[in-house]
Amino acid sequence: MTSQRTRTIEVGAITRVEGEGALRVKIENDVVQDVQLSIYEPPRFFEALLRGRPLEDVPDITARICGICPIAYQMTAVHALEQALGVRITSDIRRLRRLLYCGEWIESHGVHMHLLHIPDFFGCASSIELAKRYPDEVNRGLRLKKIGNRLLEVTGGRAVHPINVAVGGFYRAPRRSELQSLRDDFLWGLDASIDVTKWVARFDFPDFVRDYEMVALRHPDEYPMNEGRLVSTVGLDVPSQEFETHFDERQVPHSTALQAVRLPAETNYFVGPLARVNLNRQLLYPAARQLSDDVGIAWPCMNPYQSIVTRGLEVVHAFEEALSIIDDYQGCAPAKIAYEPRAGEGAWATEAPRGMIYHRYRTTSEGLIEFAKIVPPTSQNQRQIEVDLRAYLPSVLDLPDAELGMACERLIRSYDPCISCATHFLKLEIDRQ
Amino acid sequence: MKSAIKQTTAPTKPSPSSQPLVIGIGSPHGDDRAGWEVVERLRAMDLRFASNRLHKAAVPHDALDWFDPQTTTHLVDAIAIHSDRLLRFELARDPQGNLQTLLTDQDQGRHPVAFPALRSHSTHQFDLRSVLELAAALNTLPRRIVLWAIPIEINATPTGTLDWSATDSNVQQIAALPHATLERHIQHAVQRIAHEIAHA
Repeated sequence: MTSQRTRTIEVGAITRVEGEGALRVKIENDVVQDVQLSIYEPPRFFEALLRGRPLEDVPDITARICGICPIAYQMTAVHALEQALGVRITSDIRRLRRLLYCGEWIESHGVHMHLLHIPDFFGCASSIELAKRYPDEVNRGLRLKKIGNRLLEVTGGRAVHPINVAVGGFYRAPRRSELQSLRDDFLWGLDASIDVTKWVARFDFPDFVRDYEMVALRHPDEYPMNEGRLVSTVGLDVPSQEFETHFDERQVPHSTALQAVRLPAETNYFVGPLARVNLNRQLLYPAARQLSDDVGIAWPCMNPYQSIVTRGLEVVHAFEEALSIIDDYQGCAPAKIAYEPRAGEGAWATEAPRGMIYHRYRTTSEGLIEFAKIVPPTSQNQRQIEVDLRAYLPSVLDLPDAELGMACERLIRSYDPCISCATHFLKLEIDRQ
Repeated sequence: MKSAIKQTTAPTKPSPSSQPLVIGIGSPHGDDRAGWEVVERLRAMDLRFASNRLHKAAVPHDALDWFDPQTTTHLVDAIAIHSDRLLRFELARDPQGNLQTLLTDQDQGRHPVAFPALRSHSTHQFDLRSVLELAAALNTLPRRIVLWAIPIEINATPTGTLDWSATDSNVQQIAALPHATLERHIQHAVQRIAHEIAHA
């Protein structure tokens, strides 16, 4: 007679991710039976909250979905609404929006790399422990983050929940002198971010290579931020307005976050900086592109742990592009394109730091929001993370429960999930039988 | 692995100001707005206080952007705690160099409170306590930190998650009850911080 061995591993609150979630793993006779990434933050009802509101309120309300990536919500919202209204923005407004997005990528990637993710590679329980061993490196990361925040203040009106983004453009264009005042810090940031990327590229990465469908935007002339076609590593190539034809969201009992799937087969897929670099590496600015050749990675890279290297490459790119925009900037007039309210519908996708984000809005002739749909990157990655954990766990089942839990958290953190954004979304629970 | 930081490329940091810093932590939402509200009201007062000494942080780690070891720093945050009055803590170190907090009572007496008790319910993983510990590890912790804790009520289930059972009557209670109390705490914080700044 054989005895059945059940092992339940629970991480009640996954650490060093944005927001609150849990993981429950059930193992029977050393076979993984179930993996549930459970997002238990309460639903936030933003889509319902927007209904009946003036469309002008949308950028400021959606910015409050997240304190880390408000620009992503604002950018996606204004582009979708401009499509609904038939507004065509100028090239100056477009560049200023990219500059703003550069600030968010620098700030968000800087925080995730230095405060949340790098400690994993040194066996540190926290960035506080890391700071005691590597104070210069942590201070450097914090300074990069601060520079990103400063750019958000100058272009977005303030670093937290910026208030300068409007449908049609900006309420106020920054003065040339304001942007020029950032230049010295950005030159330092470019050098520093190259050093950070070289440093993280030398880390020891688990040998975990998977066959992903990676999805990102692609634009013919520029690294994707504010616009592009939806493309994937297995051949998807459609306008972003067709997102809902090729992707859908599913409710699962164990999570307050919806899980997005690829249609028609309802498969999982991967969004984020690793997907963006794999699909757009040739469009990185020169120093970032050269660095991508020098970091010792064979592209396309299908190891999620190496996402940290692509975050570094994107910070380098953001500094380069920001410097280019700052140097060329002669002002932005008009700062905002006028429009008349009209009944319409618009859908758009942009690239948040954590991956592609999609919005769709329907407006009334009075300029009110009749319908809103928001699909953040973390809800798109949620199922992929569960699938990854199922594949990864058999290789580490010999570990004691506590270490196994930490190994799972480490894989989850490589995705930089933003749980607060995804709730409509970490604890670890492992059940071994 | 040795530090690989270049020491020569950083621009010069601005010289620290002698004026204290006030950092309100929070958001524009509900009770969580308390920290921001205090900063806004201080900004509106004629304190001869440079506007760049007043900051609003949505996530606690943003405070690291402004910390300066030489500058007295007031941190204002909403705290889920059962108290009928504004609480004033001061950060200190015990003889071993570990962080601790001192609670100031109504008679200006100071009583040690275990620093680990300063546990945050922030949804952001890098909470206020972690920010203070990180700053201490990096030697950027301001030499004097005063933490103003504005008490707010949170309906919590035994598991610590928010209670979402919203009947008409308890929605009205939730909406009405804290407002006057919160307003009193905010106003009290503004007056006391303004007083401390004026007499710094």
